[in-house]
Amino acid sequence: MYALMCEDSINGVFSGIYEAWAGKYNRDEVVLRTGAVCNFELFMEYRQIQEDAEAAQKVANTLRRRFGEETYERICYALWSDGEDKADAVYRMVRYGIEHNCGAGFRNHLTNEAVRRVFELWRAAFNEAHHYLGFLRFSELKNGVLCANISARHQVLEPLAMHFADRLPKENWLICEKNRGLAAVHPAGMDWFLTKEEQISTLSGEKRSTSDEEFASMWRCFCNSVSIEARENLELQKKNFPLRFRQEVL
Amino acid sequence: MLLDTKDSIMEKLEILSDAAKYDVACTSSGCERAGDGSHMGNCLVSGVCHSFSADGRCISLLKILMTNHCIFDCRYCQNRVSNDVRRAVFSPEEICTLTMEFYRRNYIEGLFLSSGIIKSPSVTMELLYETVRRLRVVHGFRGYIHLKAIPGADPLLVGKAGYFADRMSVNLELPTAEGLRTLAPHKTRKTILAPMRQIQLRHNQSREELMVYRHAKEFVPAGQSTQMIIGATQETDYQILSVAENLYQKFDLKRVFYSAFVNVNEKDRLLPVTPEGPPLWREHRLYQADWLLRYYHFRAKELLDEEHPHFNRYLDPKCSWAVGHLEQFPVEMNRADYHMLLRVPGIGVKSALRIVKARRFGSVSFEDLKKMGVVLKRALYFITCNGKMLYPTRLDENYIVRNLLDNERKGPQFSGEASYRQLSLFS
Repeated sequence: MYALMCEDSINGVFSGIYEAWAGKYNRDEVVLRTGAVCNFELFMEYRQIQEDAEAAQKVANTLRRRFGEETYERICYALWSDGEDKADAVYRMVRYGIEHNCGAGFRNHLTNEAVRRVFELWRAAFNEAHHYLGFLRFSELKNGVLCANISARHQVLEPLAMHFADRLPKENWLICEKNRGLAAVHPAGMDWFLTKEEQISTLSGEKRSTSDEEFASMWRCFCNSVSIEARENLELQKKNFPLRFRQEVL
Repeated sequence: MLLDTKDSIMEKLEILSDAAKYDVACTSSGCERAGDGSHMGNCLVSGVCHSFSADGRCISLLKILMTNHCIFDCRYCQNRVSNDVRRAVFSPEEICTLTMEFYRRNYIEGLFLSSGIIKSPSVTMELLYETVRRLRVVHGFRGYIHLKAIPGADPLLVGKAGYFADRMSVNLELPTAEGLRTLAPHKTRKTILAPMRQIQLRHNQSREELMVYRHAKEFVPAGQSTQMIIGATQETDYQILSVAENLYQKFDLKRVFYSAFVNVNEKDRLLPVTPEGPPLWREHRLYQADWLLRYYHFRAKELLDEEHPHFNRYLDPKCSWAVGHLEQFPVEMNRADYHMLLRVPGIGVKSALRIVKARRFGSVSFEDLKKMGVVLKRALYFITCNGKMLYPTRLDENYIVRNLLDNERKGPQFSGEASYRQLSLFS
């Protein structure tokens, strides 16, 4: 058995799939892994796979062409999730799809174990990304930049950045992901990009502007007054708005 | 009427958001609009919740009144003219600033704007129109706007405002015309239903125009909604649900909201006393039934009728229907059509769709169902997979009801082969 150790990114895993498919291995004897190995297995040969943008692009093109955009998006979200087995689940799903000559609809084949696992990973990452669309808060810094902090379980920075680039095209904003030390930066009127958080520390280290604190206190006042006392239900609030999201929210 | 223009924007926000809190709708769904690359804002069809208040309700829109001055005297309303409360007025520009700055910081998904009746319905509607026009045209806002249409206002103004709003709503207030006469003497069924019909017709017309000209302006793209107060008058659940069904069918409404009556004017003799608090469980059952009407192809008369005009307090409407129609069960998961799947307790729209799509590739088992999101603890009495039930259970009304209720309290318990029933002697 061979374990192909991929980098924890879409390109990394796609490079791994390319490698597994390239005819060097018996496909039944390959598993894909991401991250570091914490427990070595006997009879397993570990191979480090370097990220190869060209090979990843080829895999991405094939997936899009054969399975359509929606399935491709589902695979991307699954790879953004924090599931440890995500690389192998995606590999097995892709393998199943190609070997059985499936069309776009095979993402609904939930009785297949690999397809179902990718579906579960997609759902977890997608739901968290959707939560953050609402729960993320920008605060305006003295330099006029809008800055938001999140600490997400899954890697949701890309979908968030895409959403806010569409929503706030003429604003300078950045979203810092504390758990991974990454940041999405969007200069006004330009494309967004990902970078290491420490590289933008001078930008994000500024104090909040005074008007921002005023609006923040107005928002708090609004949230308090819009609640109906006779219906108070803190349990329901906790269910809908889990505490882990509240750290960075006003 | 004296307008308090000197209050700070913070005080106004406090007064006018407090005054708006009994408006239920806070949805930002139903409209998909991508950004245009230069102006602020876009809309997602799913809607986005930005926070949840202490009562557990979602906050997605900046829900405020333009003013809480009101010339009407509706008995259930805290802003009625005969109440002595602090009053305030927002200027259109203040609302625009608040909306833009809140939206920029991702506090909100858009604006929900309603108003008390200042001077006359038309004057109020004109102020509302001016605010949304300014927000869209001057500030270039592309986020979500929910606007109230004021009953009795000039139809021309309602017609113009609809081109700037994503959703409009006219509150039905009370389910029956008699209720309206007693509790809201300044409103009539006619003045409420007229703008509703106008919005419906103009919305349909605009959709036809869009089919011909791609750039035709959209009129209220996310449709219209309404709300009713539950428990202020003596209507039965059956009457309320029938009214809602009529509104969905005849007025193409997107949503009917139900608002459990909160008595804010306790001295009023005509209002019921609610010592147990607002009838929240009743509101909950109505919402469940409302979902059954809109997504599960149920009819109001299937759920309730003249003899049973109220919902069961302990069983949800779908379970009550299912245990009353056991002749249609058990349902075979690998063969039943989509509509029948929807009628099984524990199976929702999403899992029904997943089942239908997944069984094209092969048969589904109980394990698969569980992974797809089916709530087996409710569904297991009503379904079979490849001809077998999950546990040996009886298709018996008392048995199922007892187990369903036990489930709610302490989780499933199965006695296997042996089970015991109360023996009735001498019958």
